[in-house]
Amino acid sequence: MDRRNKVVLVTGASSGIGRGLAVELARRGASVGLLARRRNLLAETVDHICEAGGRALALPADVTDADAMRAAAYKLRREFGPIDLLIANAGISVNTFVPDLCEKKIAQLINVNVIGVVNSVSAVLRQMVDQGNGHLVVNSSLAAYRGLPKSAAYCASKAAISSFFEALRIDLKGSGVDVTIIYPGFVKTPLITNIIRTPYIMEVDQAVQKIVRAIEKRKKGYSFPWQLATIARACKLLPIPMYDWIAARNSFRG
Amino acid sequence: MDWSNKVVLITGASSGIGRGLALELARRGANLGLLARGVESSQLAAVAGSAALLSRTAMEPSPRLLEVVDQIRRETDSGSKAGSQRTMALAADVRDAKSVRTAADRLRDEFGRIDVLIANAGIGATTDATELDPEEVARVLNVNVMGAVNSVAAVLPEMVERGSGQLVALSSLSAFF
Ligand SMILES: NC(=O)c1ccc[n+]([C@@H]2O[C@H](COP(=O)([O-])OP(=O)(O)OC[C@H]3O[C@@H](n4cnc5c(N)ncnc54)[C@H](OP(=O)(O)O)[C@@H]3O)[C@@H](O)[C@H]2O)c1
Ligand SMILES: NC(=O)c1ccc[n+]([C@@H]2O[C@H](COP(=O)([O-])OP(=O)(O)OC[C@H]3O[C@@H](n4cnc5c(N)ncnc54)[C@H](OP(=O)(O)O)[C@@H]3O)[C@@H](O)[C@H]2O)c1
Repeated sequence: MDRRNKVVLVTGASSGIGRGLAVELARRGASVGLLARRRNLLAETVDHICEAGGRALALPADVTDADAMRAAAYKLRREFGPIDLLIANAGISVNTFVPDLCEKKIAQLINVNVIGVVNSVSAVLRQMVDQGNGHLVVNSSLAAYRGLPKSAAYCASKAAISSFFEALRIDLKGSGVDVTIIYPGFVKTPLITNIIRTPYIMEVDQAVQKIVRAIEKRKKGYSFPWQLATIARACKLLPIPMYDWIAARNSFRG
Repeated sequence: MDWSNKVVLITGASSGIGRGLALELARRGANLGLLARGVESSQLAAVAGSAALLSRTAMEPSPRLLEVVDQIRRETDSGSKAGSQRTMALAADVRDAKSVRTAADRLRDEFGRIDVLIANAGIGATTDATELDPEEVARVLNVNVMGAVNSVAAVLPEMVERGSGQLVALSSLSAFF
C-alpha cells in the first residue's frame, strides 16, 4: 500500500515501538502526528523526521484525557487532512503482587492502557466512518492470551483492548474502516526494564518492520515473533491445571 | 461443600444472579455479607455516580438490597435447616476502593473473617461502534473491571495471611470469543 499522503496518528510516539513506527511510516511518505506526554521527546523525533525530508507534527497530550485526544486529532486533521490510520500504541506496564493489590496503580494502568485506547479510537472514528475508509490499529501484547504471573493488571488491560477491537471489527464490517490487532512478544524498550526473562526478544527496528508489514496487509490480527506466538497459542489450548503449573514455573517477572 | 460456617461476601447482591446466589447460599446456611450501592441515609434520593456523593459516608443499604435480606430472614425464620444463619447488608460502590474496604472490614468485624468473595457486581451496555462514547465505556470498565479489582483487594490480604480463602468472579461467555 502506498503510504504517500496518508495521514497517521501514532499514540505513545515519544519512545520505543511508537516512536519507531512514526519514524518508519514518515520515511515511507506518510504525514505523521506523534502523540505522547513528553513534549521534548516528541519535538526531537519530529525534528529528526523533518530533517530527513518527512512530514510530522508533535501532539503533546495524555491519552486518558478524552477532550485533549479530540483536540489533538482535530489539530492533526487541520494540518495534514483527514486521518487514514490510527495506531493506538501508548501503554504502560506494572508488576501486580498479591496479596496487597495496589488498586490505585491498577486503576491508573487500566486508565492508560484501556480507556486511553478507547479515547484514541473515539477521537478519529466518526471521521473515518463518515468518509467511508480508515484503519484502526492497536498495539496489544501476547500477554493478552492468558493471565501471566505477577502481571494481572497488564494482562487484563491487553485482553480488554483486544476484545474491544475484535468487537469493533465486527461492528465496522462494511463501513470501510479496517481493524488490526498487533500482539508483540518482547521488544527492547524502556517498558520491559522490570522484566527479567525475555525469551525471543527483538530490537525495536525489527518489531517495527514486522508491524508495518502487518498494517500494510491490513491483517486482522498479527502475533510475533513466531516462536513466542506459537507458545502463547499453545498455552491458550492447555487445560487450566497444566497451564497454571507451567506458567508458575516460567514467570517473566521473576 | 458445607456452607454452614462459611462467611461469604457477594457484591451486586441486590438483583439478578447475585441475589439468586444470596438466597441459595442462605438456604445452605452460609453467613452472608450482601453488597450493593447504597442510598443517602437522610433521604432515599437517587444516587448519581459523582465522586463527591461516593465519598460521603452517610450511606445506607438500598430498599432493594434490604428486600433481599428480608426475604432471607423470612425463609430462615420459617424453620429451614439454616438455623443460625446471619446476613448483613453492606452499602458500598465497587468503583470506590475505600467504600468496599470499609464494607469488608465491617463484615469481618461482625463475623470474624471472609472465606469466599463472589465478585458479581456488573453492568452491561451496548456499544455503538460508530457513535463510540468514551465515558460510557469508562463507566462499564470501572464497574466490571475496577469493581472486581477493588473487591479482591479488600479481602485478599486477610485470606493470604490466614492461608485459606476462595475468590469467585462472574465473567461472561462474552469473554471467550
Ligand atoms: N516492549 C515490549 O516488549 C512490548 C511487548 C508487547 C506489547 N507492548 C506494547 O507496546 C506499546 C508501546 O510500548 P513500548 O515498549 O514502546 O514502551 P515505551 O518505550 O515505554 O513507550 C510507551 C509510550 O507510551 C506513552 N504513554 C504512556 N502513558 C501515556 C499517556 N498517559 N498518554 C500518552 N502517552 C502515554 C509514552 O509516552 P510519554 O511517557 O511521553 O507520555 C511512550 O511514548 C505498549 O502498549 C506496550 O504495552 C510492548
Ligand atoms: N444476566 C446475564 O445474562 C449474564 C451473563 C453473563 C455474565 N453476567 C454477569 O453476572 C453479574 C451479575 O449480573 P446480573 O445479570 O445478575 O445483573 P443485575 O441483575 O443487573 O445485577 C447487577 C448487580 O450489580 C450491582 N451493582 C451495579 N453497579 C454497582 C456498583 N457500582 N457498586 C456495587 N454494586 C453494583 C447491582 O446493585 P445496585 O444497582 O443495587 O448497586 C446489582 O445487584 C455481572 O457481572 C454480569 O456481567 C450476567
